[in-house]
Amino acid sequence: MAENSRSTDRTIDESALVALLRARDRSAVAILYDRYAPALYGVLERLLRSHDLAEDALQETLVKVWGSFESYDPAKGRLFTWLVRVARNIALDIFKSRGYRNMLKNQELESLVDVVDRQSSAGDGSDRIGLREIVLALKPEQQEVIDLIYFRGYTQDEASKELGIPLGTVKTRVRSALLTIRKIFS
Amino acid sequence: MDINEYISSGILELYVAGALSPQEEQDVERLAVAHEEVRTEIAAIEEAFEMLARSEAREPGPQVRTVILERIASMGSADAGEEPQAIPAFPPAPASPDRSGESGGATIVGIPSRVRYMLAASIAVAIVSSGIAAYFGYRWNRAENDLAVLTLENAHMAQQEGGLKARLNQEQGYVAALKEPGAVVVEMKGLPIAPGTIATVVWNASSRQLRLDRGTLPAAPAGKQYQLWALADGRPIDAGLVVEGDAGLQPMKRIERAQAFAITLEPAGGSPSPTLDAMYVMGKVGTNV
Repeated sequence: MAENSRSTDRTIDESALVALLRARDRSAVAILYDRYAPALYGVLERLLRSHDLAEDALQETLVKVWGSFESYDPAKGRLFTWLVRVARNIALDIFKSRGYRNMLKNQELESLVDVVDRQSSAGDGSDRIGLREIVLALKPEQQEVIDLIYFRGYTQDEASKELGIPLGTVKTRVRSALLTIRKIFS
Repeated sequence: MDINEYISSGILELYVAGALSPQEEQDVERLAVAHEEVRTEIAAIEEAFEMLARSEAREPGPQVRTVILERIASMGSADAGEEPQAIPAFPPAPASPDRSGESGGATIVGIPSRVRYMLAASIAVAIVSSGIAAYFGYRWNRAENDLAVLTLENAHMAQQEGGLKARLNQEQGYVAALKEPGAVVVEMKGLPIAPGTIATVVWNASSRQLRLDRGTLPAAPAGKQYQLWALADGRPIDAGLVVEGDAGLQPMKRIERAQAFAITLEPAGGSPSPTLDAMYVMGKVGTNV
């Protein structure tokens, strides 16, 4: 799909894309989508554990981004970081809704086979940190904390309670994990 | 406070993840304005997080793109921001929010018995088929991993290429501006509030064109903006606002006469006359051509 717009997104850099979005240029939305939707969708699917809800949340995220783009401040950080924040807030709203819990129950009936399959095949506990390098490079306790903090939207306090470790340990684990990841990507 | 200790404490990683309290977040932002090392570190963490997320990118259904683009196309620019925020189909639960949904299979209680029978039946089917599934799942995972590594490498290279292209464009713009007959380069050096800072203008008195390379000028704090001034016969003339970020050679206002150029930090939107004690850099025309 849409091969032509995919090729154009290479030619403009992040600041140019931001400028287009600021100027309310609708053509920028397609570029934004092609460049960021798969990564955002990955984060959302991980959070919501449902293709349909993640797609809904992706839609709401981009509509929100378009509607409130003036609140993005490039001086405070990268575009992707802000996009993930918007996406995560929308996902957390869905989480808190009663509909989400009903949906989970229904889904469990419908896709039980699927779930059982996944449990038996993915028995190594690596969840979906799919990248082999990262799996090999990170210790299990580092993976755990990255997953909670970066992908499931836990605050540091929540992560500390969930894992039963002190706040300081949360901080040092996140730090050492990120340093390892940075080394892989550098 | 020792800034290096602060950087290595892990708080910046939590900041990027959005896992800090609003108060802590403000602290980080204040320190980021004051310390270049903090900004650099945040940028590196953000980049790593983006690469990490990209390594786990997944394609949404093909219809999603069309739906979103159509929905945004139908939104007026005027009513932007007034879109409903939450998903209307899911009213918020009145009870305290919890994360029980995350623990997967924990919510099967309270299901009617007919359904429970079906459930039992499907579990039996699942157990039989899961052996085969496990084998294919294993092979699928391996292929997916290989693909993820390649996709990541590809994304990395594309990013590098984009960066090089942008750099090249900037350099070409520079060369073109310098080649114009009559162009002079004025290097503005840091004043006591910004020692070591250097910014450069390329000015052409005959065409009046003025361009600025913001050089090593630090990022403007929130609510502030840099403004370029031409000084002619002792009077400052507004030469335009400085764009934030690495914008290369940015076009400024046309200037006919100038003996010097200077940059001051002003409230966002600029000022009619320069705030002299917030002057960052200055350079005289003709002293360093």
